[in-house]
Amino acid sequence: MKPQQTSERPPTKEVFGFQVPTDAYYLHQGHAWAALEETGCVRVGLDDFSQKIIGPADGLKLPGIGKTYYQDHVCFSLFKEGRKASFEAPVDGVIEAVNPKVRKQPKLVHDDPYGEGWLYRVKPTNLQRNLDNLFSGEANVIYINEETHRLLNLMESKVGVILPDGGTVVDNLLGHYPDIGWRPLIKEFFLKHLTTKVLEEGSIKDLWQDIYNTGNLQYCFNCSTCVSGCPASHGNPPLLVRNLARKVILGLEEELIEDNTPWACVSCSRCEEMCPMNVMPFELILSIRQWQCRNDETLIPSAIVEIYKRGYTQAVGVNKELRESLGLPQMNTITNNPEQLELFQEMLMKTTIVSENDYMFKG
Amino acid sequence: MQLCFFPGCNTPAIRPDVERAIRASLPVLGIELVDADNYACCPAFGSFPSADEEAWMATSGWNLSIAEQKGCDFVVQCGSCYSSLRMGREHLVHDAEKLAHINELLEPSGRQVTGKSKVRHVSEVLFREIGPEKIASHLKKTLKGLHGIVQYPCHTLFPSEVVGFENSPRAPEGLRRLVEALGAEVEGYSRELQCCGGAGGFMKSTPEQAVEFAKNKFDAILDETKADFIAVSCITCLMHMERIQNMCNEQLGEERYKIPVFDYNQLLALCLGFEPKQVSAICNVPRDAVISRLADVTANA
Repeated sequence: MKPQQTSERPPTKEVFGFQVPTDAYYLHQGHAWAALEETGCVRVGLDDFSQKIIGPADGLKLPGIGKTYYQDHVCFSLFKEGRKASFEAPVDGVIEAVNPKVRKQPKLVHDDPYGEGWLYRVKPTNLQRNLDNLFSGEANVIYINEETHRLLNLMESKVGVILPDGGTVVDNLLGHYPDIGWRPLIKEFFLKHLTTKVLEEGSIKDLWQDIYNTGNLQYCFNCSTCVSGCPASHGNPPLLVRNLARKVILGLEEELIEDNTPWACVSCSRCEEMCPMNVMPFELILSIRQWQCRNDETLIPSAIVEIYKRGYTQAVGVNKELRESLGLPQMNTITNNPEQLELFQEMLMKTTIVSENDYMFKG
Repeated sequence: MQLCFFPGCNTPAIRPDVERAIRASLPVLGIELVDADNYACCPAFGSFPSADEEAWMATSGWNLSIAEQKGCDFVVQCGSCYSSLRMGREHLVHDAEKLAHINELLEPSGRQVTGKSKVRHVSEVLFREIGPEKIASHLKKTLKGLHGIVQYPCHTLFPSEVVGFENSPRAPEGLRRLVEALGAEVEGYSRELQCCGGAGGFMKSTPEQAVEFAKNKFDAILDETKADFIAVSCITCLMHMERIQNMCNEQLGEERYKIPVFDYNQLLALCLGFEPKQVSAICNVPRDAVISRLADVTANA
């Protein structure tokens, strides 16, 4: 395939109303495209399938110039009406430039996905290997065809809509059928590495270094002391702390990201007390939750937004009549003190999790 | 002695009568309380601690700086607040780099954290600082003739290295001794150290199993003791142990589970002569059977 110029658009074929590039553009399974330029750089954008599902975006978060991103890892996001859709990078590399036009006019990504709507240019660092994991040519068409069938099944089961033979999927699908659910759809089609990437055989990752970097984890010998006495071990499914430790040690990333049992923990810390090897299982659970949040922002607890907005998870300091009836003084809380609340918010806005997900905290 | 009172969120927002009890009792026993103006969420384990350590530490630092500025330790009733603040402080004082970073974040608000203020649980202050004998000497009313059981807050027991104040977290005695000081007879039972199960996501994610888990505990209380009341020392235990009893009754179709639940500070305030309407006003399992049996100390003497 010959390298493409920025101004060119690829030849396309229509699949259920989606334009699919049939030459020069590689498709990532998360619906980003990658096109080789003569300079040796790779231009990246989003395919028409993603754009017709989401509709015209009203904001973008593009990757930072000079930063390195890796294939299958979350790299950039679109915003629409306060909601965020994140996408994975199609290739490894260092960001060279971002498209200034889409910054000013985010809807270009939707209106001209393969042309003026490109997002960024990256200097690839592992191109040949990355390309092996991408679709190209006729495989693009087959892929979008499969994706559309998955989409149609989902629409039928969630909103009862059936596409007539030869029909096309409506533009701005989520706008028309919000009941399909923003987050489930984003996760299902655009953040696939969370659900489908399978570890290469024999390559146990050092996942524990990402999650819980203390040597003691390696001493866990699966004795189950952390399970006996654990309230949430009575749950369905049960929280089995030793299994979580095993998943971390063995690098079972895909199983761990989908595991929601860490969230059933009641924080009683019995396991922390009783563990004979000082693994500190409660801290392990918090670390797994943090790691899940880093990898899938949909898991970030909404409680942190409440705390950001009013200082507390409950309405503290507003039950004035009740307090008065009990003979209690009124409270000097940050909910009631805008100046202090602002300082509190400014502090939190400097932390990584809040600044990287700032869209959650606005409005 | 001066302590900075960290109210948490559930207590002032939902059960402020517990706050009233603390504010009433401690000064009688020689503890002067100062307010933690502009405190924030502790933060709760299900919030920042589950999402990001940096934001957790920043919020802890924000709170700890308040007590430091007042020049005293915190006193906390809520088990989760106590544990979260203790763990936050622990992380900060043992990591100079982390501490420096959090101070950078705090600086624009004119705050600073060094770790010089400690975080103390109200039951520890009552047990270790004031002591059962001194408490007994101040009483105007007594729980004599009543049987109680105690629910130790997990967050004050485990991990003992970080939060503990008992001689043994496996055989705690503080709360029992404190209730005994009020004249009641405290009974042990097989599931005394079983967690109430009320915190975190257990109840939210699998309510059916969480109710069953707690029901076993209440069955043990009913089968093995003559408990007239349950004394807790954590706002989550208080709210959850009431709620669970009502849920169990609903499931069963009869009123088998109706043991009044009190925060210890409420029992204490009642025995110090404070008005039930102020210090014990809010409950979801009726408490009249206990409050009506409070006896004057002089009448018994």
